[in-house]
Amino acid sequence: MPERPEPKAKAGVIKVGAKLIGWATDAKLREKGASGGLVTALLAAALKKGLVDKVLTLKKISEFEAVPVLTSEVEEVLQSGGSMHSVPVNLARYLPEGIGEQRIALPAKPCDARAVIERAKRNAVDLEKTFLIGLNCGGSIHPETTRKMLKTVYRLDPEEISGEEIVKGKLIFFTKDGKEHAISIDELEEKGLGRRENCRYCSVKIPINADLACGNWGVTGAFAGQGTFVEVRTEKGAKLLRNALEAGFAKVEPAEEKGIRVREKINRIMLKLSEKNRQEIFSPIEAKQGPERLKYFQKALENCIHCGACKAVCPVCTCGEDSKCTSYTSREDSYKISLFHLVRFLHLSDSCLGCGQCEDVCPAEIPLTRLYQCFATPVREAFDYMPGMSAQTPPYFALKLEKECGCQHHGLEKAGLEESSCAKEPEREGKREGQRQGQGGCC
Amino acid sequence: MDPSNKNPAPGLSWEPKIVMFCCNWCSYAGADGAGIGRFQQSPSMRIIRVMCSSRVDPVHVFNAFLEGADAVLITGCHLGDCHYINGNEKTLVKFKFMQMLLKELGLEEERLQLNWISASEGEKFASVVNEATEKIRKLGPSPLKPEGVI
Amino acid sequence: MIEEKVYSSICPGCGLGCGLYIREKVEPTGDKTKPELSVDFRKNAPVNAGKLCRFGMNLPIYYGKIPNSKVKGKKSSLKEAVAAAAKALKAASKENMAFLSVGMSTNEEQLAFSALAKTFSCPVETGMEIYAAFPETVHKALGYGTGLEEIEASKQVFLFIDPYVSYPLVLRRVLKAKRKGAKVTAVGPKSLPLADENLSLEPAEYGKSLAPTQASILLSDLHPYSDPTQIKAILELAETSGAKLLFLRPFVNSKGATRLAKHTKQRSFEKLLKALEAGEIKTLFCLDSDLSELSLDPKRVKKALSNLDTLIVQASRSSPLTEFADIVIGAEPFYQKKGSVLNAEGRLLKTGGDSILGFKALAELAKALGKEGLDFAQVQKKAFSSFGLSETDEFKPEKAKPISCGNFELRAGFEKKEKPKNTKKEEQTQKAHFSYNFTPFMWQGLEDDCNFVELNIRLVQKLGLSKGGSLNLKTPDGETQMRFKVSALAEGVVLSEKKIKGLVLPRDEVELSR
Repeated sequence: MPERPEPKAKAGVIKVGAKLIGWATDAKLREKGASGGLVTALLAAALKKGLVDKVLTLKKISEFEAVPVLTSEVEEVLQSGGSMHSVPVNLARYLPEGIGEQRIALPAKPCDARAVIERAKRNAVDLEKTFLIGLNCGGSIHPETTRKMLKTVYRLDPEEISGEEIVKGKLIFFTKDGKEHAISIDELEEKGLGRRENCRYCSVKIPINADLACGNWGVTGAFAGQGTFVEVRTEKGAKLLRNALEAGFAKVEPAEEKGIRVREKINRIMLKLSEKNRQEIFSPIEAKQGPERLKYFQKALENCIHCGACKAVCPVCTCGEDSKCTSYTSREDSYKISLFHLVRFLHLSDSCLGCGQCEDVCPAEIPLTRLYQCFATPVREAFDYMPGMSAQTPPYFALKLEKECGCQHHGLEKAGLEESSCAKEPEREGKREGQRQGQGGCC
Repeated sequence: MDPSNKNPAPGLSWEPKIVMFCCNWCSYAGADGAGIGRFQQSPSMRIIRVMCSSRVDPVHVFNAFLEGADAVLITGCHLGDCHYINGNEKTLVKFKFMQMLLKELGLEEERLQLNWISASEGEKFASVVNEATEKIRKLGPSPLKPEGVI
Repeated sequence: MIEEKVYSSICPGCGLGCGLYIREKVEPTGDKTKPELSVDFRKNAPVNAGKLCRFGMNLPIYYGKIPNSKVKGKKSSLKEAVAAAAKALKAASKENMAFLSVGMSTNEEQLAFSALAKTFSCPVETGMEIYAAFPETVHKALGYGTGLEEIEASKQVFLFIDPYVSYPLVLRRVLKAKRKGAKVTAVGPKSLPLADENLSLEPAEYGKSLAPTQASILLSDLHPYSDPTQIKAILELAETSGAKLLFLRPFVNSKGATRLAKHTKQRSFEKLLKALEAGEIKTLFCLDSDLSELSLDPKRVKKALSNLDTLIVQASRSSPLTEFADIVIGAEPFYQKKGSVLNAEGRLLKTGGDSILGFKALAELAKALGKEGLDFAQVQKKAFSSFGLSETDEFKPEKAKPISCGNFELRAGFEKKEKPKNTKKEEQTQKAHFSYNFTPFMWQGLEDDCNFVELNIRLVQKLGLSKGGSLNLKTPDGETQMRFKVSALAEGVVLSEKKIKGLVLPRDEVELSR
């Protein structure tokens, strides 16, 4: 552990938009948690100083297993931490249902944060009382795959693993004898192993939708490996960080220009790769047209055993037990394609995050996330709407279909549904006059 | 839809079966108008009257297809004329989503249609029915029709 | 504050023992005996990778009914119930006793139960009379285990079960094998979507119609209603071809229970019922085994049980049997139990809880009857060593062994019924071959949303049935109305996932009409 310069930064630098490097003051925490232990320090400080009532975190059981727990014990928070790429869980479902009195902080991968925001839109979470400490994420791995990789590619006994990390496109396992074993993720993925399929084409790597966006990308110089890059995204995030500083749990330093550039570059590279993977995965489906495409979906769903796990685990579904997809479906039906899935395809077309939970728990190995994304992509493109990235109303629930000009017909026009109908009801759009002028008279 | 009709009597062949949702205030009255005006119509429609076109949920549409409908027609009042202020605008949102879904699913676009028909447009009603029937006749039976249903 | 406890548990739905978490919430002011439960996915579980079937998803309902201890119909404490049971057992005559435990409890409880039965020189019955049909030399082969991973590694998979409904977590393994190029052959009345070929064969035809190799795996199941003729044919097929064989099991500890019971003097449920009806059994002790749920004729069970002097039930959830038992020893629900089970693959799994209430009750009873000193740790050790294992390890299934049984004759077979001939098209009634498609819901007595029987489209048309209508099933014991589902079934077959009144044989003939 190198000597650290005494931070020049005071709480004053912490404001929305600030990009900083932070670390835990406690040496043990720095060692235990990944990259400086800042996230653990933030969570512990929030709990200790009463900024939140509870923390939702992962209780580690082994290198491949951790259980989400809601705790008010600072000790338990300090026990959590570590990278845990083999624990693909979405925390949003573990937040207490409904709008309660409890203030809760949680570490959130981009898909966790997106899920929490989507749940908030459906009144299942109070966003005002939820503190999202975002974590950069390059993807996670199903533990079954991890074990398989260890046995067949790394040729290691899963019981001998003491830790893992992803650095520069390589998945590194540390064994109990102190050795490092690195293999590039590309190589693993060519063998059908590696990250979960949905992570390979995920388009949000930095959680800019969370209150704080933390990660080890852009941690340069003396801090490399010892600090966390943190971007303050909201006032709530600033509060979290200030609180940890005041409690003496963490310290921060403004990030270097170089670090900021490195972080952006890594993000760009990752997103480009994701886009490439997306093309590879989806173009064969897109190439299918008409009856062939219908057959693809029928075939993909033919093994469904109606267990309902995909819905139970879906972080954006807040319908509860009696919902349209289940209430109108009967096992007595022998339809050509499942009504349950058709309804879910529609319901998720403006809200599927591609978090992969459904696919993880499907006992019939249906590539559900891929299927949901087939229906979500056109909606996202037509309405320029990314679920979970902002408080914007989902287009299906909007009274009118809106695109950037704020006019319902624009969205339809774009999607080729209406020819040009914007002029039909000028008085209805009157309130948005100013906005519309900016759009070059499209309406 | 009776699965026992798989083998129709000799001479009977497939004819389009179209489920048509009509709103109580405009398009259903339009259907009446078409009858009173004695406009020739194809017998392919199975009309379901709803209070407002926005009552039509995607579940109804999917169910119609899965039970053997060759097409689904949703009809309502012209935009701005809704009896419930903006029900038909909500229909438009839902329709848009269903249309995108069915397209992605690989079902022909013509199998789901939306039309605004006012109470006075009997003739339009008849022509919508005839045109839709002709289109579907050309497309053939729906690929989602269950086994044993004609 | 709401206290939440997370159990790393296994599913009691079938012999696979899928890993899962049970989250137990108790509100501080709420009823401690009625915690709010939810199921969570344990992705690190090697049996199922965290995936669950419909039954697993329904576990909160399954666990929702906690039994109260009862003596002579009155609510009592556990202690009083144990004391009453001890008194009743002491007064009972050795000759007219029976002990039943099919394998829905832990190995430790099973052994304690055996020790108790032994004080009466009685065996513990598991309902697996099928073992009696086979010579002892074959019993070992029936108990072999093979890891589910072996399915994925096979070049050819032969399914003698319907994995979609009976053992859903086998489905993904078969699909994975298929993705790797394996050929899937389904043998049974129903066409399975994942099968490359579907064959409706009689056991006698297996030898000439199926050609497995050493790289094949045969998947069947062994349960109280299994047809010995079919099991024999499958064993022979495995032996002549050298193919791997895995028998799946209906109860979470079926395998452990049958191994610990050593297959001695097993009676079928039918024979148990006959003995009850004849008054040969006067005292019956059931450990987590509800005869009326397990039998295909619950009404008959209820009547037969009224012949008993004393019915003692130790149960971890309430069921029809706990309603009319004389003495109920209410133990903890399965997920709270500390102990082990041996799953169908031969993995020794931890049950994940921390309570030994049920074990203690049995140990105390044994003590009252002269068998002293049943210590949990020692009993556990004894159970493990009888499986040849030293500790639980969910990552180690049994290694597949080649089947070698040699030539043998069955001691008893199934009553054979002629396949009904199809009647003329014009007739209003049709005869059909009826069979049950056993599901975890059926074995565990949990209500399932399947108020229908399955028929193929031609039978539906012949009968003139229409959507939403119902079907009349006529058996010698009466008529039942059921809804129906159109399925890809072989000709003249009716399949049900629900017990139907009057259809008490797993394979039977039935008359259908509209």
